[in-house]
Amino acid sequence: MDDPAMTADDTAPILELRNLEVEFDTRAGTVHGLRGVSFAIRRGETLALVGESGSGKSVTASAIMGLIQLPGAVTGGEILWKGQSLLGRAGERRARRLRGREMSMVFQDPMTSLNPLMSIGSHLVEVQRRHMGLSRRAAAARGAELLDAVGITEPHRRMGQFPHELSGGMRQRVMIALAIACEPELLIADEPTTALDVTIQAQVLDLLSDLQRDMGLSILLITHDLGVVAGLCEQVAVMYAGEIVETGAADDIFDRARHPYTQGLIRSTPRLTDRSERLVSIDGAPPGLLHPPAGCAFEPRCPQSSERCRARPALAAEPGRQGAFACWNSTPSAWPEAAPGPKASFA
Amino acid sequence: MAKFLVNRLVQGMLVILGVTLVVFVATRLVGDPVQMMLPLSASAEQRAAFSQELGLDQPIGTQFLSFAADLLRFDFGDSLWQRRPALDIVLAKLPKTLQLIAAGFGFAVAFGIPLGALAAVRPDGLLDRIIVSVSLIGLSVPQFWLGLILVMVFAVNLGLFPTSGSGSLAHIVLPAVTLGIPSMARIMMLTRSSVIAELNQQYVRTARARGLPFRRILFGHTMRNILVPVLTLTGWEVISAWAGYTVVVETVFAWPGLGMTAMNAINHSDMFLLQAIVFVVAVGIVLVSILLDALYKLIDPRIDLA
Amino acid sequence: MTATHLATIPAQRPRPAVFRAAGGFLAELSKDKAAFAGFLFLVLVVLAAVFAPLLAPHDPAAQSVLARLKPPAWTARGSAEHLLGTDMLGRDVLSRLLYGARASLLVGTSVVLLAGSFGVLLGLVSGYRGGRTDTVIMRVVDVFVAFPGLLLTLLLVAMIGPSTPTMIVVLAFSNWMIYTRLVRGIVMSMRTTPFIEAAEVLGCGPRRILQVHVLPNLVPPLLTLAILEFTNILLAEAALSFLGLGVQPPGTSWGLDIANGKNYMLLAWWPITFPGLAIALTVLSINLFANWLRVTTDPAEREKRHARGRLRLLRRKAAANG
Repeated sequence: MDDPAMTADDTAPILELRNLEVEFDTRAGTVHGLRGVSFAIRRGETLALVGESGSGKSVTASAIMGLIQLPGAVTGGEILWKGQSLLGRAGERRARRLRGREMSMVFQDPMTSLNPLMSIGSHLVEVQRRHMGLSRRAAAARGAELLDAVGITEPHRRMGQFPHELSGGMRQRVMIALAIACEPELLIADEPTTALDVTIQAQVLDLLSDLQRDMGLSILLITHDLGVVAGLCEQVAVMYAGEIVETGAADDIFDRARHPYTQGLIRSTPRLTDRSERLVSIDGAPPGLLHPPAGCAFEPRCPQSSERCRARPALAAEPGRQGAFACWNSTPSAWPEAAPGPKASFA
Repeated sequence: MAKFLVNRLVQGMLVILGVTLVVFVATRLVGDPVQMMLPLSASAEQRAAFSQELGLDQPIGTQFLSFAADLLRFDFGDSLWQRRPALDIVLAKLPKTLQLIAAGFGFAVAFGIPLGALAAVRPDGLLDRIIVSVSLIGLSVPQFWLGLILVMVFAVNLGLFPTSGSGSLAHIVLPAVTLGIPSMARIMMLTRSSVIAELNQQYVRTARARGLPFRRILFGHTMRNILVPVLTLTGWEVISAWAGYTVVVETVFAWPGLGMTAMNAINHSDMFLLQAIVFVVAVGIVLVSILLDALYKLIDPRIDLA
Repeated sequence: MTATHLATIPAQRPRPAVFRAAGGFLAELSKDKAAFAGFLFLVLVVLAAVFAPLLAPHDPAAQSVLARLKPPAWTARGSAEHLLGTDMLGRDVLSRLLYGARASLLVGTSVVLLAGSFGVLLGLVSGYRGGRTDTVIMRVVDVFVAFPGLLLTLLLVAMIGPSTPTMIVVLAFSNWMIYTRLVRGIVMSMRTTPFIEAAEVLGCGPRRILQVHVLPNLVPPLLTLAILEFTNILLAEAALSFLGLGVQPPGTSWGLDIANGKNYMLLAWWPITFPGLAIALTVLSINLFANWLRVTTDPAEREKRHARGRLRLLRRKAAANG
């Protein structure tokens, strides 16, 4: 990343979140969905946002895409696209022009993400006509090419089919085709493989990886599955209870995670090369975000909590290493029995 | 498709059979047709002759079979009141009722769907509250009273339309509006709640993420998806208007259609004419509902008719 | 009997929980102004129906040639003798209105009870037995639904001879199907839920399962349906009476009064206006109350209502700032 050959423009992030806060106003009270989330993605970079369900990963993606709807609202912080804010009145107008064109998103559930009464072709034509000003005929021709590009056989026949006539994996490919139709710079993939069969999962991940390479896409991959991260992403950000607790290069995170939660997460991920250890889960549950704790949110589940943990640790960079973590008492391994020695492979 | 048609035709036959049975029980067993239809002054011989003509001296099973056979051949006998075949009268009055229904539901759909969608854009906004209040009132006002009030205001006081009868285009306005208002209110409410529900669907979120403007999503995506429930309701409303609610409206406005004829038949104790109307209307219901089901398939490719 | 007397009856059997529930109900209801107003109006209508003989200033059937078509009291020619005026036969409109409430409530309640209990019973059998029983019952329901409703009602009433009991039976005959469909649907979907399956495994008999598990889940939707059906019956009663096939003179009904007033409505607006308003306001009140009830018994709807309230607040704030 510090390669001097790169121009300033390339090293500047295309998307940056600064201290983003999102709140949901429910009858029970205010739920603090995001409690100050910051990270950045550079051009061509892939960042994995990892965490348990409810940790705020999807809320983050929704906030970037402007999909937070009442009772939720962005209540603080900044979202910057190439240095310009996407919040506020002018920002939202800017964001509306960007969405679907420069940044696009693939969702978790391909079964409900397509309009059941519109043909695949109509979906593809609609978005290209909107953003690229193509004629209906040109959009249809390019739509078939896009289907071909995402590995759908007989693209011309598929154009006339309806979502219910396609399998889940096929529909997710259609969603990806829709997302890349206008050659975006950033693709947000929110658990893109969770709803799919295992064999299909690998194919979809390969497809994303190919697209990233061929199109120079930046990808923000949101997942609860560390196994998905390893093959695809260079950078990892770990979320817990609405905040980011650790960031770093993927290799560093897998080898030398510094936050006890990250370590626990890695410990509880099944690996193909490792038969010796049984899976260990992290005891307890994440705190409710209706009344988030004042101190470290992980403290109640942490094996090495101390008095200092009553205060909230900030995300601090570690000297001599790219990345940062938010823990007062970080050790190479916080958990009782050390993780097995050889470098784990998540492939 | 063939299986669907056979299925629906069997269903339709059951409905026709059921109606025949109810009409038979009502006219032959519950009511006394001889007493109803002959004048009080009729002699005992006249009564006996009429009873024999109707076949009332036959065993009940035979009576029903010949009754059903006549109906299925659309042979309803002569109207006692007008002294001509009941079917001829029904067919002569039919176009007027169809006109009224077409105008009434044209009005109901033309206002109900757009206003309902408009209300759904901002749930609980000012426009939504006004539209919901108006439709609640429309649902609550009795149709015949609404008709009378409209006559008082628009025909008598303002002189914009004729008070009753038929003939010119102006004649149909008030009856059609009266017939259409409760249905318009229901269509409006359903469109509103369907659009609100539809806008919360995942595919709408993905469409928004693709940067499609709200207007495009509303008209291009959700309107098509709410068409099936809205069409179901509209079809149901048309059927229930056809199945009798035109009687009320036609009576208020002296609109010379099937409904007013039915009331005249009742007032003249003309059982043959009344059962002819009931039977023709029942057949119409069966046909319309089959047509509606076929229409769903056109709108929603997921619907499997078999 | 007075209102205070009524209120003392529950006190003889001490059940504070009932009072607390009633207090909570009223507190919750009073937050929705429209529904609260509707509820109050319904209470008034019920009181009018129950206490009509005490409240009515005149005999509703008493005719007076001298007092024909007197306008309401507040108009120039009106008198305090007849607050809402008199009709063509000199009968007091207000008194007829109060007695007319009886016909509406009597017919509405009887039909809903009659059609409801028959429909619910059939729905329970259909949903619980399933199989061929279910197929047959649902076929019958389909056939009844496709009947030419009002027209067949007219035919039946005309054949049997118009009267209030006839009207009740005939309206029940053509309005029970919707209960069967609702109940069957709920029972069907509940039969496959784990807790019913577990109860069956544990050896609970069908009757106990119905009583303990199914009925409580049926009550809220059934209540809402019955209330909405009540409005339909009310309107049908008015329409039938208007057509001369419902309540027969000397009985009183709002629909009948409108029919009587219609012939001289160009001379006098009040004999048709007040009964019509009475019907419309009663039905509107029920609709408002039923809507509130539906939203209140549904947690998801309550959350939505809260969110919309917040949305309004935020919009107002935004408008104030911008």
